[in-house]
Amino acid sequence: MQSTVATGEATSLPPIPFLARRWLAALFVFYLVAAVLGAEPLLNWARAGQQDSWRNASEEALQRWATWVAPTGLSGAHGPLAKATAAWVAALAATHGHDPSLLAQAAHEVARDVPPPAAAGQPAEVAQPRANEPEPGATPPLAQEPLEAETEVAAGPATAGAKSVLLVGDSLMSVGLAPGILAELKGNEAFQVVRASRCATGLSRPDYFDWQGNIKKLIVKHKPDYVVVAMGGNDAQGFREAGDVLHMGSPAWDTAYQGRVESFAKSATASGAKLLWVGIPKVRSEPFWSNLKRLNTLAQAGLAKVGGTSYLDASTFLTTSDGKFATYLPDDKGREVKVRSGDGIHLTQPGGARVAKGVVEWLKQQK
Amino acid sequence: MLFPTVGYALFFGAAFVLAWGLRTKLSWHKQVLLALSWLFYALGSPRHLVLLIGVSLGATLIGQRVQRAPTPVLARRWLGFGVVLALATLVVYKYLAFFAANLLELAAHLGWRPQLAIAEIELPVGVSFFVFHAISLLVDVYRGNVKQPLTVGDGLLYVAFFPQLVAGPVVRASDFLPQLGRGPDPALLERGAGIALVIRGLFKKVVLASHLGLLLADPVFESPDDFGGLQVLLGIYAYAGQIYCDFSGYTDIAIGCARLLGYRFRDNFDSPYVSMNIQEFWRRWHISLSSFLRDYLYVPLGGSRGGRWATRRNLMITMLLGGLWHGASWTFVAWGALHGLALVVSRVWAESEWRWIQRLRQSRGWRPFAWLLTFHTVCAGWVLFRAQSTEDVGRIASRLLQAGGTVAPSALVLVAAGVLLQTLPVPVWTRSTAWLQRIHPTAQAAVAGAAVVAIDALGPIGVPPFIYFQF
Repeated sequence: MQSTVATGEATSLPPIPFLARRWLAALFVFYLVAAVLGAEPLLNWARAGQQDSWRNASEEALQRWATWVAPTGLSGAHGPLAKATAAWVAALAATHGHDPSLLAQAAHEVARDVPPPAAAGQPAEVAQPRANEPEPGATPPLAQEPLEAETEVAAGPATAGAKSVLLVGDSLMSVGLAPGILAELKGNEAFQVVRASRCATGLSRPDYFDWQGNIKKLIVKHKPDYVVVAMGGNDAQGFREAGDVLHMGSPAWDTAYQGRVESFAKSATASGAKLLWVGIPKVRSEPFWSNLKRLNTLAQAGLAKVGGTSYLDASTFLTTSDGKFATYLPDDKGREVKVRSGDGIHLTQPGGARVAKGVVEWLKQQK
Repeated sequence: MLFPTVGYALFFGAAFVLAWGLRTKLSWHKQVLLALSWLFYALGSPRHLVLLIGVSLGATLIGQRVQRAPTPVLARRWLGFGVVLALATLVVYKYLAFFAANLLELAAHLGWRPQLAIAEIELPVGVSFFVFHAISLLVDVYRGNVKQPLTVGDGLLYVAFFPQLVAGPVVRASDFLPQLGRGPDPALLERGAGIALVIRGLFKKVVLASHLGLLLADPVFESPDDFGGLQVLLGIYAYAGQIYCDFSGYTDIAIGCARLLGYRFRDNFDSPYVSMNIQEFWRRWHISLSSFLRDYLYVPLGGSRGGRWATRRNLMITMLLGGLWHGASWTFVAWGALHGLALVVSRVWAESEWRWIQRLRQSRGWRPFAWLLTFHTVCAGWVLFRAQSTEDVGRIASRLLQAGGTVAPSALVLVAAGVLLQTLPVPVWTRSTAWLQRIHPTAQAAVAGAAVVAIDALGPIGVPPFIYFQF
């Protein structure tokens, strides 16, 4: 056998035993070493899968495997290494003065023309919190950071009697929608707009950015008459609540997410402001959309329990007449314009302007 | 299916056992590889499997006609038909919406507003690559570079072979079909450094490229207005590192996996950022694509045989089309134009007989300056490549001129790792992996298992998708 390694001549190798003896053993050793050292990440991988019987079986099996391997101590190295990586990432992000985009969906949002993992039939695979990630409250990179840096008073000096409008949300608000609303209200002295959105945020991960706390501060500071919310694109992922990891799609997750929308809406309307929740518009990827549709339903259910709130279905402004996703739609003059960016999720400027019309119409209807 | 996933690790293990187990029954071996390749594609994008099979079957059947044509004229006609058909597929799936939107805009400028809706066609994963493989099959057969008779099974497997299927490298039919005739080569498994290549590729892609992108490049390109000039500059360098690590990492994995199965792909990257001029850059960057464009586009156009101006024209056409191949957008056309112009300027400079230019080129300070100029030309190209629109390019350029922005030392280290690791001399890499090939396969496998877990821990939570997938 040694001679075959030394010469490596194709002709000197017996055909099947050659594989069976050495390389078959090698393959087995590869899986064994990876499964022992990586018992923890494997378990998380199984947990992140779609809710079905295969997932449940693999999670159970890998859970048993992890417990069984744990006493050897070999599976313990991955956690500290991953934790050190996360700490390094957070430190670097802080000095760089920008959010570390820890949310996996944010990574997909910025990748040009590549559908989110959901489109590849692996929803939420990368969007699952890992067991070794920072505990909520342990090292929240941005949770406590005030939003002032991103807040901007758009209209000029307050005119007497002008109503103040607070725009909050994630990239759906920041890119496309907020610029569209500002353009639509340009020169309109009846409204004064404050932008306070932040990309790559949502309600799922308060350990990353705490909207529940920040909305209270924003209400006290700006005393808005109206609050317009557009978020949720980053929320299709599991999270922790009261120490438990809840998986996207489970009933417990649904209840928790609906509760978060409700409490957010309560805080926003506590001082009498009226709230408009802009639903996530239909996206190109069908599997991702089925998750987002669920979020829209949960948001509506949460809002139904809070007075002074309304819901705007953004899809109606951005889909074809028969309700299909569209990258291009005709404008007023019948010209085809690009309304969605290449990722099939975000809005372009003309796309944002279309939804903004609906928002401004709502603002003008309020008394 | 993506390479850095648990699913692929299981898939590849099965392919490895089946492929080597059937090594002595060559036709079974190839049929199993073909079925696995189609499964690999279907697991990612089931809807377009029919397109992949259609394109590869069409190219193979027409390729057979080319090979068996009784006269050269007939062979040439079949070749033309096949190439037009393959390119038509690419145009329909990749460029139709872009062309239509631009035509409608032009029509609107001229005052004509037809009531037309542009249908959205989803870009099939890897279409640019499998169409190029189909073209290589047809042209290599026509040129007589494929000696053995083309069989349907070999043609289908060449186009669909899963390591190169979705994002290259662009493997030549004349390189690969003879290997399929001989069957897998165990020497490549034993001594081909396949395991080391896969580990190196995973590290570049999952650790370096992901962090560079998420932490430094993406934020700057997404909202340049939030950053000072220094941070924007670092973001651009970071993108240069990201796209190199992402793409060369991906091809390392592809080449490594092919070697583990006993097939050889040519190298695709050769330390591109050490280049002293832009011609050298294109000999070192995405070699399989640039040599494809050279042999199948530049040379048929006339290459450098038709005098200076014809050469320059051919360079520009090649680079503009090469730019458009990367995506249906004006930013990619601009990227191609920049590289075409740079190639022309570089050629004029190299051919210059002016004495002061020759003296300058021999001076001591010239080499560092030439390296800096080349690298920054490439970086300027990456800004066009990464920006979402021509307006974004303007925003980034204007931010670049503004002072300010703090840069963390750890960010510099990360960018240096992404950009400068390749400047290490080649023997450093070969020596560092040579020991891995000398130890017993089971020991190699144990190292690989540990490396994969460590790479997962060092990477970010969730690996962003591969940049080159849909080009």
